[in-house]
Amino acid sequence: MRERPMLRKGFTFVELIFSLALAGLLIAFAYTTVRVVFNRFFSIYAHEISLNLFLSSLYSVNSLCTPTSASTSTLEFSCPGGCTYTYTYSDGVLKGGGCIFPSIRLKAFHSVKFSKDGNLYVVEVDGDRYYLSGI
Amino acid sequence: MLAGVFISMLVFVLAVLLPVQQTLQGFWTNAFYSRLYYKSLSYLEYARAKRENFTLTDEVFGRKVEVEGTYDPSTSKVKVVIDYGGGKVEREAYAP
Repeated sequence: MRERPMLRKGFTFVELIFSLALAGLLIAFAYTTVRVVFNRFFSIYAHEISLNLFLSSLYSVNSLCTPTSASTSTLEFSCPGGCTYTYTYSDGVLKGGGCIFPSIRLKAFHSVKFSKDGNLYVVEVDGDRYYLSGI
Repeated sequence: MLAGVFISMLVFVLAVLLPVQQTLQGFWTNAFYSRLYYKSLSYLEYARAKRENFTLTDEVFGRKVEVEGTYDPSTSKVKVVIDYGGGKVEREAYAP
């Protein structure tokens, strides 16, 4: 009857170093992947929250006020009582303020452009177009 | 041994992957409907400014939507119907 070969116990030094290096690589890969995915997710999340705040403000203002003028970086509303509410976008910061509505200051947008086409006002946020009528 | 690996995988899927997947799906759904709400206001404003019948296609949070706008001069009302695949949203307003 043949004897079964004995299994060797323990690791050699080279095996230990190799295992540790492999484990380190796997941990580094997992950490980087999770970090990139979470950063991307939270960046989209922050953008959505900022967009909601901005659009909520924009259409609230538009419910009482009428847009009267637009340049690339400025949109102005005329409100009842003769006061004005103005949005400005400069250096990555979108600001709105004036009149009776709360002021707003947001930083999560890459680009915001205002324009006018007849009596239609266009607000372009990161390539997405939102319309306001000047009536 | 195999049973241990299977149970570990099952626990990982149930305790980690499933909640993460549900959170992401919830966020995506909320973001889509939130954008659709403001887009519907936007299309209505577009219809108020145009005061004519129109159709357009757009993309809302990665999903294609079809918009149909109608203007009724007898009532001075505009109506937009947004078909987003999973249903339709209707909005109506005066366009004086």
